[in-house]
Amino acid sequence: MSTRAVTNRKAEKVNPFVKIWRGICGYFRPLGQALIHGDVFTKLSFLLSGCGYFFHGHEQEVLTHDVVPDEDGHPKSITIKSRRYVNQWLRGVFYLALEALAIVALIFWGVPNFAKLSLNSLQVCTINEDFEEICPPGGPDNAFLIVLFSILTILILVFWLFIHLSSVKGVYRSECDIKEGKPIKSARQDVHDLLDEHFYITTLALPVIGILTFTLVPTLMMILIAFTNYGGKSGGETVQIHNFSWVGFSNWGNLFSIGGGSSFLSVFGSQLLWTVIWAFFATITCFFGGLLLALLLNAKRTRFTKVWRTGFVLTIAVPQFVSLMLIRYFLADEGIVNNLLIYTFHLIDKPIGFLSDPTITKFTIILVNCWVGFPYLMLMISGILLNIPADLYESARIDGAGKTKMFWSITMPYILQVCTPYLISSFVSNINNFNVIYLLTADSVSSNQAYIDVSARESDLLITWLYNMIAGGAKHEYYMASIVGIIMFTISTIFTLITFTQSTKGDRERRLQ
Amino acid sequence: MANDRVKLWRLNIERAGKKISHKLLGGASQEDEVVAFDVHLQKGDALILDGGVRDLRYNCLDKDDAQCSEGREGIMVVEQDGTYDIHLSTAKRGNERCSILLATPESAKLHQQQMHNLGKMRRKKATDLLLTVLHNLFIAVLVFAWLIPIFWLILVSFTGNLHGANISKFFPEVWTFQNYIDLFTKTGDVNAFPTWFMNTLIVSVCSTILSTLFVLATAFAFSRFNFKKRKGLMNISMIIALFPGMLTMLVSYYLFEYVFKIQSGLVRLIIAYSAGAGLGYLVAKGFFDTIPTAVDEAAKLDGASSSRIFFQILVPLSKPIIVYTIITAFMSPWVDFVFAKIILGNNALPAHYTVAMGLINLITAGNQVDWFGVFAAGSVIVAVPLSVLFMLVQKYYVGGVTGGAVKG
Repeated sequence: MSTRAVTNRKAEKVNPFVKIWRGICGYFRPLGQALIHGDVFTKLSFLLSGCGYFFHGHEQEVLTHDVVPDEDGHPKSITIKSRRYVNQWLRGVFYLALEALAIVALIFWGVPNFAKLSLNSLQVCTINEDFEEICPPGGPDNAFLIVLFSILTILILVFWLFIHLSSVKGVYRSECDIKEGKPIKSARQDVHDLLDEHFYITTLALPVIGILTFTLVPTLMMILIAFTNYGGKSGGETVQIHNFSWVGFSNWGNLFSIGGGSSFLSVFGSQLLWTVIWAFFATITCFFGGLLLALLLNAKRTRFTKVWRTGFVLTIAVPQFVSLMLIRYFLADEGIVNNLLIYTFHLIDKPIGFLSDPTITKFTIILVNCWVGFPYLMLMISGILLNIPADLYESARIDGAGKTKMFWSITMPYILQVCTPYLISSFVSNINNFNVIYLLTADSVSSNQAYIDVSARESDLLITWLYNMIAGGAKHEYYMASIVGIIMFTISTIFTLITFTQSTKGDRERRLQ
Repeated sequence: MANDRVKLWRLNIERAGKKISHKLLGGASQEDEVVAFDVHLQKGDALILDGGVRDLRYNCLDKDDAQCSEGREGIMVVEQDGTYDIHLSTAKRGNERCSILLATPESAKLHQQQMHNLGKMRRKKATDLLLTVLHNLFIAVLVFAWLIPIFWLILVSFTGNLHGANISKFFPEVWTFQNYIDLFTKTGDVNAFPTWFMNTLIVSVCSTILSTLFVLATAFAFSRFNFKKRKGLMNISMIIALFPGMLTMLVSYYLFEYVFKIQSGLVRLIIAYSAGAGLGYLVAKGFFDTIPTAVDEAAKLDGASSSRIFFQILVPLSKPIIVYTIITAFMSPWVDFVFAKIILGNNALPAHYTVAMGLINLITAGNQVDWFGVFAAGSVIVAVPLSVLFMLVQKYYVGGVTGGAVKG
């Protein structure tokens, strides 16, 4: 690299804080200008979102399309130029409607719930001496809903604010354009743009609203639950459902203070360890197993390849809740495998607890996961094998490389290169692998009191434990579930970011060739 | 594929532009075939190999058995008069390659060596056959082991329910079709299979339409537009998808119950399955990225708008990925039992269940004694169409699970 290029790069390098500061300034500068230099309608737009669009307009040249009959009477499309008064009323209507929506949300969802957001003086139902339930007028308060509605309102307000500010900038821009005599976009043009230049707004609108409502809001809500005692105990009494309060960081304090005598930490530690071990072995065994199967099926000697492939793929195609449920019965204490070993072969006296002994269960689970995972990886690696460029082998053969040599220096590196990101993401998805463990061990019970206290079993991963805490057992320990969820989220995020930076480092396939 | 086609290769020998002799060779489907013959050649004769050979090598051996020339062209010109032994041989199965070996009479030794090798090869072929049989037998055993649970599923579905659930025997003591009949007729509080089936069908069809639209729309926006917040939105969507879905579903329940006040379980499930679908845009985006932008630009020059480019150019070009998206979206309501349970809440009546929820309910907590066979029958009925669908899309599935890492 030449020295000039180096100095150039140095000059471009800016302190990230400066960069952020410049970004903020760049965002607010047009707003300031609008406030100082804008006309009365632009200033009014700060209050009534987009109202300037109604009043900013001028006469400009407009192109319209029309269909007229030509000499032969056939329809013919022509473009007519005309001068017309143009304003952007459609944008005005849109931004005003959004503001109205935001205000409605603030009044009906926000105000009543913000008032109670401290969760200090919740109205609850009480039971009097005659064992009658007396509820406050208007029903008891539901802390969950108070928090949920508050989050919804805050999110709506934040998003509205962003849209509102950009609308003010837009109004100011249209004012400037009119002053300079430049054309502005008519309502018709705006609609047309939504199908052309700005088509991405049209396509993204619904998916983004769906994701915000049913993914972002729930995520924020569940993160907040970690700072409450929802479903936990306070003063020896189980907190009544829907009636919880903020506890700040004390949940996290309890989790990380060993002296607290809480069985949560010890269970959490061992579950986390088991989750990582499981994810590691589940990923590694399936990768190598799948690789072996793929090589076996792609070998020169193999006949009826399609039949064998179909057989393996069938095991993926059958829903897991069916196949794994059956395997659970298969390996049960009184199941077929134990019966065979005891009564047919007389190898053992009493059944092996494939799925009832905590230690053996872990091995069984990893083995059964091989049953699930090998065909998957086989399918995938077969695809990769087909994609290895044939000329790589060709040139290796000319150079006199043998089969083994070619496998280790072409096939394996290629597969590893392509699979590394997949392996990391499959590690993450194994951390979140609910089906295998839940379906195999759903009816087993721990004999260890520490585990029973926190509705866990030895074989539980964090994710199945989470399920037990929110939906499985009689108790609903939401605040613990939330903590576990946040920790899982953090682990998954870290690994995903690693994959992401790895896979964007460079074009893998080109480096290989 | 090359090895599916039987093709003959022909060696023509020409003298002064006229064919004087030719020999045929088995072609690409034959493995290591050798044709050897003697021929008297004059200087200037041409040996021409045809038959669409992609890759031809020839060797010429002179009097000292040393290699005198080598090349990959289809034509070779003889440089010396004499009687030659010519060996035509095909290369390994599947490779469209053929090679000619020209030998002078003086190198007859080499010819003999070749014939000797041929005999060796025949003996090798016998052991080869044995190895092939063993190899395939081994695979067959593996496949059989993998299929045991599925065989058992089918057997259980035909097992008569004489002494309660039969979970300890592989083969039924009494064969019966009763489980399938019960599945559809013995409906009530526990079993409502026909209703479950219809529920799931409605949910999966509706959510498939919605989520396919969402996925394609999102993928198109990220693949073809370069707007300001693009990178940020893509990063956020990657991270946000990692929060445990179970917890977000729990809040979704409250959203449905108290905020949007949707009581219908079917509507709830349709929304729950499709609302976040946009997050799964990555595979489709990877596919769109492989379609050259030159295609759009040409259309744009002709005056097509982005929406028309999307609907009339990209969508028709993206059939594989659309099929993949549709089928994965269609299958998920059939196999999901966790989210559905959380979304419907604890008080849901069996009539509102989906197939997966209902079937699992059949064999949990006390029910399994009576309903194990019916569960198996229901599972078979659900698994058959799903398996067929999966078989149809498995090749797209490979591209899908690797996240576009494998490009065909």
